[in-house]
Amino acid sequence: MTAKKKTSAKKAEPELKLPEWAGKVPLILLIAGAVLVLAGFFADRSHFAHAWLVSFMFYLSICLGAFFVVLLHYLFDSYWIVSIRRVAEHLACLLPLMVVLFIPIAIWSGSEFVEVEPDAAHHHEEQAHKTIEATEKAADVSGDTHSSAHQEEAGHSHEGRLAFYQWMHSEKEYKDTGKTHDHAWFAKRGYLSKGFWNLRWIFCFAIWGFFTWMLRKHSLEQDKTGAAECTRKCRVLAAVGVFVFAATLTIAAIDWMKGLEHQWFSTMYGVYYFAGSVWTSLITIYIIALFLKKTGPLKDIVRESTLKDNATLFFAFTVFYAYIHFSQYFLIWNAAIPEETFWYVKREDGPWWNVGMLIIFGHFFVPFLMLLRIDVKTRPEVMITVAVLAWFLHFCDMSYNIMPLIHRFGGWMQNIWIDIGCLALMGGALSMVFIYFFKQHPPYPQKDPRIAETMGVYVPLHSEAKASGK
Amino acid sequence: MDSLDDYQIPYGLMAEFGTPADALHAAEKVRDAGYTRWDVHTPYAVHGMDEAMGLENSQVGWFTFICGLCGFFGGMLMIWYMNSYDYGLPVGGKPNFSPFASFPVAYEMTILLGAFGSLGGMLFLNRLPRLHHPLLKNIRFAEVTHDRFYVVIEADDPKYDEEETHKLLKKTGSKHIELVNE
Repeated sequence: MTAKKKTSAKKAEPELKLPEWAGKVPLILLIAGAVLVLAGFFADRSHFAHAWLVSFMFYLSICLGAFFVVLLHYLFDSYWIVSIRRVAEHLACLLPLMVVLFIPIAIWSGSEFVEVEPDAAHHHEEQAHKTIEATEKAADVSGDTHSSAHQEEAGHSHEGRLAFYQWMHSEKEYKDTGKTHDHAWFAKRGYLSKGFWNLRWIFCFAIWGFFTWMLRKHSLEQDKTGAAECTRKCRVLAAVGVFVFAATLTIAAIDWMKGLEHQWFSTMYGVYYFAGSVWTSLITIYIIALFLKKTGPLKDIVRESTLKDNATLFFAFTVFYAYIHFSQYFLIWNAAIPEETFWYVKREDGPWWNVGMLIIFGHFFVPFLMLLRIDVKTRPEVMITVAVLAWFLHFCDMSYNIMPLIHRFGGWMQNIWIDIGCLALMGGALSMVFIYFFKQHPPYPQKDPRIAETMGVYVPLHSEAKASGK
Repeated sequence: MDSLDDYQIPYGLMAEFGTPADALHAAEKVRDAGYTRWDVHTPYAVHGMDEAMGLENSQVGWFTFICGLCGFFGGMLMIWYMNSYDYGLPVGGKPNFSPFASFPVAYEMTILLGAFGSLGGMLFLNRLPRLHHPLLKNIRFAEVTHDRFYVVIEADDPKYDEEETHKLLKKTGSKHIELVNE
């Protein structure tokens, strides 16, 4: 390819030619989602707030997973990721922008408006009672007078409404009266304080913004200059970034999702969210890459083998997620300590049992057995089916973490339209930004040192070219 | 009938190549000619050779899969029989048999038998172990461990004809073609 050809190709490529209908989909989603969200806000505020969190965590996981794929490329210098790296970079760059979607959560985080479904409330009380009994027993044994002093205040001081993050209520109570019945919060008060919590989410978004935008900046710079220096800078960023990524993802998962039930313990929660995130993200990248291959921009860049490698990594994460989630359940089941088991006891009651089964089969067995064969990994009809399944199951997984807090008997299904509204609104908004990003820049890293390799073109070494007399 | 060679049965025709690319293109021509009982011998794995030889994806996976399933359910069955049926063993107030407690062991059994299945299936499909191969007594063939590439068409092949096959191999550009006996 001559230099002249390259520039002309570059000019032609950034234009993303979407079919007429596909270009409008994000806008339609955005408007429909906004209507549903507005209706949901007035219909059932506590369900709306939790549905918002579910879909926020859903999209956050896709962006975090994409960030991880970019880091993975630079850490392992893998050639096959090059062709889909720009897609992952744009998805990752949505991370700092998601702060806009997070601000509502930060606003209502401490306010007490959450109504729990009556049966569930009864169950919670029972469970809280059990936990208090157990901790009292433990306190008696250890002679921990400090904690039992606080449990004398046991009982519900609030009038049927809980705070979104209930520990914030306990903190306020403790600050106002100097007492709290919430031993779980008291024991964890070093970490669970409103000020520190605010600091943490600001830190997370800031650090994601820095790393994702810097990684893309160098990558885009390389499109122009072709300098190896850009790759080197990105490698340094990735080497530091992977540690930062692990820390911030764990903070995000614990603060925003696990923090809803601060009494609970699980050392695997961060990696559990990570496994689900990368899983969903990889299939999303697969579908975007497949779409861009069919519509043109990545026609010759994304090859059969790229899709196969992408699907293989997705397959690996199917197993990894199952391994992590099984381990979390297994350890809690085996130890059988009430402070830990209550989380799963709640989720084995009523309809949530079925959702749990759905996760076991739909999140693991079905995709695992479907993708065992090597040839299905490049078949679009199979992979699109798997993608729809994966998105649905990841949504179920997020709901499984968040919704049992307020719903025990079917209330989730009655209000599912609010969830769909939130998903549509956020999906529409984020995909509009993604398409904007994609149109702005070249569709793939054009001068990456490994671009020829990823396209399956053999470029002879200088010495080889010389030997063959060219 | 005066030399020992007359009593020997031909094993096949062996064609030598100097580069992997030549061997690859020769393989493509042999494949297109419709031969079925033939092989390419190289000092190292040559990318694209599977396609050039027209080889399908290996069937070893089926051995792994079936043996893995046997391992999983065998492991479950073993624990159920030992801890629940034959000699009930209550631990910590938990059920004598639970798929959760048994899962790690059943999973290990899946991997163990899956690995056995892969190894056994590979040996079976390759018709190994085999004590002797006619090519091994050919002195020239020893170069296959160094820098030579060989395409060998067996005499058992239904399309095999000493003259025609020789011509085909000559056309692929081999510098050295030799008849190997059993």
